[in-house]
Amino acid sequence: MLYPDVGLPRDTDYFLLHQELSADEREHWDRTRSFVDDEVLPVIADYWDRAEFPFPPAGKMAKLDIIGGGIEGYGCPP
Amino acid sequence: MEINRGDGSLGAFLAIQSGLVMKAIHLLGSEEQRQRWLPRLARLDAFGAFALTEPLHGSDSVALEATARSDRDEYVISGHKRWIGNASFADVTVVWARDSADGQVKGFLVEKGTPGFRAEVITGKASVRAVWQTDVTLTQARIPAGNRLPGASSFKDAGRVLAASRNLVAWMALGHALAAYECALTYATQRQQFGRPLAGFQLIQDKLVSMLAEVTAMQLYCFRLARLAQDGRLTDTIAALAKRNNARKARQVIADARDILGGNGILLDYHVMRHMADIEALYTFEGTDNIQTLIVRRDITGVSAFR
Repeated sequence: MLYPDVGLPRDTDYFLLHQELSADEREHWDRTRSFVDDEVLPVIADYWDRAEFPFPPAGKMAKLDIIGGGIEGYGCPP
Repeated sequence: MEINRGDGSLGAFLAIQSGLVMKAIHLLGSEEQRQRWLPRLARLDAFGAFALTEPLHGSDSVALEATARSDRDEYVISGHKRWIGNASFADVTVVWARDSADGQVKGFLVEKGTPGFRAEVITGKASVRAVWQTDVTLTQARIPAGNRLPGASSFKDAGRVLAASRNLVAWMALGHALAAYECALTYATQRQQFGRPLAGFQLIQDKLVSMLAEVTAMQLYCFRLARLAQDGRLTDTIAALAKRNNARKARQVIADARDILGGNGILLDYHVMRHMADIEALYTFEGTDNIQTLIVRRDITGVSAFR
């Protein structure tokens, strides 16, 4: 890849909305972001190409405390 | 949102598991059903699927044709469902069917291994390819009467589950758009043509700023939606306007990003093309753009244009 940085997160938040989040919410968000960068992005294009469900990274989502977030009603990013 | 910044298929999987299946059981299930399923679903010790859409009923799923007939201490369910994510391996599928006793649509928990339940993965998808969506056939599938969701007594209750998850879709669209915008920004600052970075050309700069403006507006929609949801003030017309806006804008932002990435923009390695394919599914699922428009127009004008 000529430009391997393409795909790395850039924290786009021009109107400073993240500052509205509590420390807990921000920590939760950061944990999810790291999961995406470390576990999803390196492998997902291949799964997509082969139309295979990515069981290993999907399974790891359980540790993020994001499943069932909809039940609390807060629009926690999925 | 972060999950969709990564990938739309995983985002769809999560929306099904958490936003639809768990929400349905939490809102409409008995305490016993909640205790039995929610902890396992949350830990991904069990997978769930949500079977509402049918081959002949998508936007008008209110007219669904799958049937459920009470037979002593069981229900017998028959029908066809389509686009049902996870159903080929789900431990529990929430099936929506019309009760022959009163003609009302109700929810039923059909467990893995139930005879008469078959789910086949739909092949040839060019969008959200990494989530397995299925054609489900129920042929006189028998389930214990205790597997009926007691809180679901008409289609309105299915609608409550959908309304709760429409909020998520606005965030999912934002995730895709952010991914595309950030890929485009990185690429434009690194790739050089005619002796300078792409980002040094006014046309590219204009495009990037327009994309940032849309992404920022989408973020504002999402944060406001989240606070309204937290306060219990989120209505389905509010969520409909948000989905309409964010899905439309995301599609445009992603297309612009693909353009900025030039030839490399069609490669899966550079992510944007995958988001471009995946936003198409999002634009349609959980209520098409046209349906979101009709919902909001009915609200603001008082006139329904559904028929």
